[in-house]
Amino acid sequence: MRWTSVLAVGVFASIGLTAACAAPAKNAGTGGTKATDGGTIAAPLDPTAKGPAPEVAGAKKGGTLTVSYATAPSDMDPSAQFYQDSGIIMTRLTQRSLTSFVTRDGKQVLVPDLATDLGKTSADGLTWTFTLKDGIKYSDGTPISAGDIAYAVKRSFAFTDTGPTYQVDFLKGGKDAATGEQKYKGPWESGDTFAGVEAPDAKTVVFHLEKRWETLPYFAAFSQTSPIPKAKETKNRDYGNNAVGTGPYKIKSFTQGSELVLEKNTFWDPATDASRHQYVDGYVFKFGQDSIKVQQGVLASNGPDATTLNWDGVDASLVDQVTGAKASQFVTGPSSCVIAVNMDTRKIPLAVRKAVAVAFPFDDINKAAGATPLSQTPASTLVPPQIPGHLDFKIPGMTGTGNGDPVKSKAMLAAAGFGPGKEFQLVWYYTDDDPSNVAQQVNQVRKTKLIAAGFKVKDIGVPNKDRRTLIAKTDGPHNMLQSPAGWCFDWPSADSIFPPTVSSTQIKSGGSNWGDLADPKIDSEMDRIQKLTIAEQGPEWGKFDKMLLETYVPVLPWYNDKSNFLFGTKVHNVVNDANHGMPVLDAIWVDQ
Amino acid sequence: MSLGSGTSSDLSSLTTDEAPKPPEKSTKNTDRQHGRSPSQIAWDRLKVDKVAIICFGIVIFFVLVAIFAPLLVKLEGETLNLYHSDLISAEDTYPIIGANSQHWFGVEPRTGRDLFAVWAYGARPSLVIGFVAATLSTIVGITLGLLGGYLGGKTDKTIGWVIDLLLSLPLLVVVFAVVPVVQQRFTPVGGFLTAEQKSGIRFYVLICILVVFGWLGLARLIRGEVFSLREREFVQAAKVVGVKTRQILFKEILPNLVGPIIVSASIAVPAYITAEATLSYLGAGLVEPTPSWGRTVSNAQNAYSRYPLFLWPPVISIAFLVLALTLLGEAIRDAFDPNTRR
Repeated sequence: MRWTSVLAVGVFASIGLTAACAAPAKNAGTGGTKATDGGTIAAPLDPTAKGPAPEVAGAKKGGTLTVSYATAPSDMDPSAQFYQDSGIIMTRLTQRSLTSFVTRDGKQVLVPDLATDLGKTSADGLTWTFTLKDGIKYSDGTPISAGDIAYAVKRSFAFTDTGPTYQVDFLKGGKDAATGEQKYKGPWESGDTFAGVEAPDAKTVVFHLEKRWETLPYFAAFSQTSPIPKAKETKNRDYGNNAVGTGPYKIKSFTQGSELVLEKNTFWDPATDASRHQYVDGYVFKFGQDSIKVQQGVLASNGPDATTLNWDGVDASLVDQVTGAKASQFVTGPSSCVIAVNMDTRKIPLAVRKAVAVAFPFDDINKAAGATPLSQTPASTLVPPQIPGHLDFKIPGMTGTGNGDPVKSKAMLAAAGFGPGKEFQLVWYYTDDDPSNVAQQVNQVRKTKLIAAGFKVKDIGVPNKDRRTLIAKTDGPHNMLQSPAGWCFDWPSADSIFPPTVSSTQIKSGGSNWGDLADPKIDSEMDRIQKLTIAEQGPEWGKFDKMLLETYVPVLPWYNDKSNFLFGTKVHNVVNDANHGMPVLDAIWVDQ
Repeated sequence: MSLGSGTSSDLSSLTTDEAPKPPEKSTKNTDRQHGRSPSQIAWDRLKVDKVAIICFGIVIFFVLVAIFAPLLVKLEGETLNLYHSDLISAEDTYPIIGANSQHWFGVEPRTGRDLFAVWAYGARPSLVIGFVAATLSTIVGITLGLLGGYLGGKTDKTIGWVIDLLLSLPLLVVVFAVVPVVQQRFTPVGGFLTAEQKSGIRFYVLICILVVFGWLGLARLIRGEVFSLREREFVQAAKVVGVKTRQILFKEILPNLVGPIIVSASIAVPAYITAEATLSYLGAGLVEPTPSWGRTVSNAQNAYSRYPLFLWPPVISIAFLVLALTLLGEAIRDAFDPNTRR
């Protein structure tokens, strides 16, 4: 899951932090998941859960919940989504997938959604079969069919530049076995025939795999398995503007960069849905807001602010209030994200990357971003502590703390052949239209300190709404701070962290990853680990983490994100889902 | 503007008013009833106007701050855009110090920039944009007003039409539309602008827009004046003896319009300074890291409850500067207005 970083790095104050993916409960380091054989399942699965979802005690119906926050999703296409904010909106509100999550006693449990169970796997583990429930309709009243889900999965291959690439790696025929390049590029470019997924009848979806994928039921909770009727789609992301959905709410209007309005979907049947509620009459998402003003308004709770929720990190000037008098309007908790400073290993030599690590002014940038202990904890690894197998190591310069050592950095640059007159140039994008000026100031601090450490800096200011797309390009002029700016695990196993962030598939399918790495040695090491059982994988991923950071220095771990929710006095039942770092949106109810 | 009609047509009464004053004050001005220009009379009046003197002092103070900003900041022992993160608390990212001898106005929350440096350098864009735009818009206004009024006919109609057109455009909307477009225009294909380059472009775009929208009132005023002046005997006489049009405009007519011009310019300066601050506040002005009072105000307002020192210097400065310039403008207007008696 891509972090929704919009404001370059580090801007806690204006980031729609928080996750939105499929991740079962993290459980004090033992949250291993196993889909099929029931081995060590700490994160529970409940293949028998039936709708309707249990009522929230005291919940009232009606009203509108406004969610105002700083960032903006670039589209609402269910095939393309892989960001936390649009992800949570789709998976909780507008789209249903094969599987879904419910929160029980603060833990996330994977339950069947459109499917009748969590999938059945063949003896060799290479075929997964899902059977659909009866009577499920789109928001326009037409019935869904298994073919629509198969089509949606195929369609997701056309959006692998910003969307997930698990399906490319695992589904049969997704990538070229010899070169590792993405072979199937979606129904428009490669045709409708694809060996990886099929719908033998209107009720059955079958996945054919290249290699064992025990965590496939978690992937099946992504909106990439939400049905898309071929007749209604457009052959681009604009489909998201008017996507027909199956969730309890449907899109009334979507204005990119500005607003998303949801209204009730009358064709949603609670009896078929074990995980979602339909309490409020509608949702209004306001994007690109000045989060400080939103938060001040939300805490004061006058008029419409009383039914507003904000999920940006709490502003430093409000820390006193939310830890004191207004504590009842604030919820915080861990999120699934590690934020890091990404560098392009193809453009920045190893010696220079090491110098950047030595020079990087984490503390100053944290301060400039207004980051407080409420919003984050320093990270020194790419595998967060709550993942089984997390190896706690600290490589000097890569601890997410400290203020950089300009003298040492200059010496390292000199040793690498760069010095006064021929400095190494770092190029990055930053948001230059943040109304609170935080992104611009963070950029200035970073720039100033890196120049002082002997680098030449070219910072390219771009509007907030364009930045996500630009930093995801691998052929741009930038050589650092490319996408992803952070990574939120999709399920509590590092196999939802590493292949998606360092495998060469990512680069070969036009996306970017940690360091923009495309190294066969890394790929083969990951392949080796993935062949192990989930339990055995844990410690191996920990070692892999250390090896990767030590040997390649592709990225500087920075901090583990914490989720912060501020909400008005009329907003109730805001619960942090610790593995997504997002509120369980559909469970929130409001006073009128 | 009432003074417009008064200045030229009531010249005779103006000199009469001054007549009772003792002429022996200045040996040069033995012939004051006839030899003194309206400007000289106005200057004499201004010199004894306490409000004008005080306001002038305030304006000069800010001008000096702007000119000597680097020196002042050096005197403080600081550098612009030096980030003192060590003075920022990691707990809530607010400064751990207030104003002290190293940081006269304290430091900026989050970044730790010296606020005195930000303030001193922030005076520059305000004043430069204010004075440059006022000067240019005055020159354009005079020229087009003179041409329209004196030549009449098609020229006058065209100028009048342009004025009407521009008056119908809302300034703020135009700025918000034009700034990004021009910025894009100056961006090399496939290339990028740095923040400093953007600030530079925006600086000139702001001046241009303020000039384009600023000359209208003055041009209309001058045109009206010229309409009546061109029928006066001395102008007719000049025409008859074959003086060139340019000379008639600038030597015969213009000197009679000095009053309204100075007044208009002196009122334009504070208006433009306010405009620059407003636009920077709204995000259409200069960008980080170029200091600007308007943007400091915008950054500081969220921190006001915790760190008021951040907000006060730019707010007070804008208020005082604009007030001083406005009062000075009023005083100049009064000084030039023959109907004013004190």
